[in-house]
Amino acid sequence: MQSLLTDPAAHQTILFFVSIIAGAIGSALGLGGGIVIIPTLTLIFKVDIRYAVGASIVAVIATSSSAAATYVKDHMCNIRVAMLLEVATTVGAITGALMAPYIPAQYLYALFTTVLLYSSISMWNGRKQDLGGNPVATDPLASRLSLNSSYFDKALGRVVSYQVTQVKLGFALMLGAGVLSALLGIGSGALKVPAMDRAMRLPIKVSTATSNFMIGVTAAASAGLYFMRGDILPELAAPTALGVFVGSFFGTRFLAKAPSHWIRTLFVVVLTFIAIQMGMKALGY
Amino acid sequence: MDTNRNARLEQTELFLGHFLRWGVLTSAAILITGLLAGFLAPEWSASVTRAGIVLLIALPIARVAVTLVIFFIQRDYIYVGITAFVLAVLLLSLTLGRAAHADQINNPQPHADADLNYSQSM
Repeated sequence: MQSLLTDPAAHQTILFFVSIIAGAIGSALGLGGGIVIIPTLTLIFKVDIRYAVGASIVAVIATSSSAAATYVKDHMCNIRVAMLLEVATTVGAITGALMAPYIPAQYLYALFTTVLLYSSISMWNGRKQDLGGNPVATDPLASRLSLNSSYFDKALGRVVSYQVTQVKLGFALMLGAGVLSALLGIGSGALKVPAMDRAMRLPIKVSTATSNFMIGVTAAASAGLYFMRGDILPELAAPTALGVFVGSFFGTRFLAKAPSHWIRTLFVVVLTFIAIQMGMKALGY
Repeated sequence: MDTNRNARLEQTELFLGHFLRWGVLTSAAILITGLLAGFLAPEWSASVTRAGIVLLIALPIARVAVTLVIFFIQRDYIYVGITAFVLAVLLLSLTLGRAAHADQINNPQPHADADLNYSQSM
């Protein structure tokens, strides 16, 4: 199998520009950007899936760290919520990794598709949440863990205070998200944002920024293994990471300034797109 | 108490923000050096780039460790516990990964893609 492009510098240049798009989408929506990197590498460059996943995991880590640097300063990312939920996602990830050899991938894709479609519909139905007010049932656990917080919304031009609710449900969903994404090696952001949005009722911008903060940690844990196996090729990873850095510069600014309902609409569109991708895999395409 | 707590959280956020920004900039600088070395000193390129990637991968894990120290200094013991747990699970998963890797080296499985070596084509 020969690559369509034989000139390495051309490869790297194209990969750099694709990664800018991946970094912009990933950082604004809390997804990490693998959905753009993997198809580009496997379908256009004919790179083996191993190396495509290796480059994608670098993209996720690069998005997470560079976007988090901005979100943390802007208060968009809730550090306490992130740390608490990372307990669930990391435990889930290990469980998933240990279960992986025993579960056929076909069923997983079908399950993942169902969960994503349900999340898309649910997120769309939750759009009234963006209008503000955010009246949620008080959760004593949220105050004991000091999860309630506020951020300055540049689109509204004012500080938005919010309460976190259903902490236990959110935690349980994150455990499931950790297991599922470790089993498939993808999609942790696609499950994290709906869990924070629908269960814990965080403002959508806080959900995507916090998801962004979290995905890097989970990805770094598995990246160690990928790196030792030699799946992360420097010549692919370097342009990917650099492109993502540039992309997340734009993505983070977009998230800060865009109205919340734009973010939600975009998220639902991308989530549906990923669901279709997974659905095709479940059907064997 | 609560305003005090929020003020401390703000300090944490500022520090973490700076930490991540400098980490990302350093790794970007190393990666650019590595790519440029591809033209000037090809024999150095891969190892310099690899160093940049290792730094990038280490950054989120280091971030958890830094957060742990900050929560400890602030005597926020609930979050010291939570963060320590996350760090422990992370280190465990890295160890499990290493064990799985060693297992693979000892019992090598032929790869289906043996005919395609992408790194040679670059």
